[in-house]
Amino acid sequence: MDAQKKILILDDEAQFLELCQELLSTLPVKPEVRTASSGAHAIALLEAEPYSLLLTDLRMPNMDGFQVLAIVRRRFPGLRTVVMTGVSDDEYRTRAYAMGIDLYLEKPKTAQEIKMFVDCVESLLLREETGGFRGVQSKTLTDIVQMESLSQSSVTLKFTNGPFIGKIWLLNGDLMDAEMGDLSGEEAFKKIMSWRSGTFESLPADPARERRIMNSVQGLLLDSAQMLDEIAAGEVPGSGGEKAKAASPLAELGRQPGVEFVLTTNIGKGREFEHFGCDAPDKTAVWAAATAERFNQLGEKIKAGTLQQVITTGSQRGAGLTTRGEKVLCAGFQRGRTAGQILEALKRITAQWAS
Amino acid sequence: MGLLDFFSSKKAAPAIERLPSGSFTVDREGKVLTSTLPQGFAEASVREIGRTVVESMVSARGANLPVTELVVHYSGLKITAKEQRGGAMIFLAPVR
Repeated sequence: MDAQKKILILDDEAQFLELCQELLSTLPVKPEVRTASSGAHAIALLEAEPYSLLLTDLRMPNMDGFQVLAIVRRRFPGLRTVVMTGVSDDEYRTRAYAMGIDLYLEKPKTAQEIKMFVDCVESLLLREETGGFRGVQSKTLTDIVQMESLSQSSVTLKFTNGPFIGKIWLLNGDLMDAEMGDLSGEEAFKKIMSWRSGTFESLPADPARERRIMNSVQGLLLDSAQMLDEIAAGEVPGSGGEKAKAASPLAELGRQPGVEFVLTTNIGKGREFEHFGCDAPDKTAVWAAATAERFNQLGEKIKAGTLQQVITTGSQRGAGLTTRGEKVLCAGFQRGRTAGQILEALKRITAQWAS
Repeated sequence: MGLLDFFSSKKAAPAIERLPSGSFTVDREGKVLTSTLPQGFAEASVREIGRTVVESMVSARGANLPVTELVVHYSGLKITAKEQRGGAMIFLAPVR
């Protein structure tokens, strides 16, 4: 007969501990749920008896979650660990996965999130029975999907790449569906497979998920591999890779002869901007946004017509600024160029930008 | 009859402001020092142009874009400003 599973929850919020204890005690495997309100207390409990799972918060006084995880990884390498935190920072997530945790969950706020949280914990407890090796290693997305497919797993893979989240559903090794933002099915799968880095989590399978991908995993992986090759060759703009970065729309504009940088922002709102090659993009964006606004207003007051371009020349560099609706495009030019030369180059850049 | 009245009636036609041609100088505060602009062009507009140009030149320095010349193209007017000891000499030329 199996020994009763034991879960240890570590958090400095007493109310959250109580709620978690209540939730997890109702799991079908009937685990014994203990709580600790400090890192030192948690370590002491772990040393006293074996546990199946540790759930820990990150932000805690005295000993934070990362310190606890470092000790746990060294002293209890077989213990499954889950970070459960209110911090949604990607840096923390990556750091926690690098320390070998099994899951990084944000503290549940809605009924759906609570259900997901409970399902994830149950799935981890059940997985413990199958044994296996655990470790920290970087794998490509293709490796991960291929491994899950070959082992005929039923799992939901959740991938995080910066602000983007993608999910891939597998049932008995078959690809069922994928989702990324507004995309779904094969389109979403291919988009996710174009990501170069990030983190992934194995969530419980969803057998009720409607099948929207009919092609085989291998076929789609081949397509994706071909696309990755194209990305490496810099042929797919906006895919995030180094060469692809160079192929982003602003980088394309920045390739015009004599152009030092290209920056886009919104009239009067210089805090939001995108740029390519600009040394001080925040200051330049503020100047570009304010200058476009000033001269727009001046044009209205003196009835001079629509603002078309603002050109500056100076001892360090020249600059050209133009607007399209609320958008402002500012380009920096190598010094020595005349206002006329900058105007002609800016017109070419503007035409490319507009297209 | 009424229709003819409509065509022949002389309403006061709105005055069309001409965009000016000429130049003026401003100091670092944007105060107008000298001007060759036609007197019909509103003084307030001249001051507004001078102030806007000087403000833009000053703020450009803060963005690592020190300016010796600033050219503003509108659909009906071109403003060219040359930096002069913190102030500027500003040329206005209507687009034809």
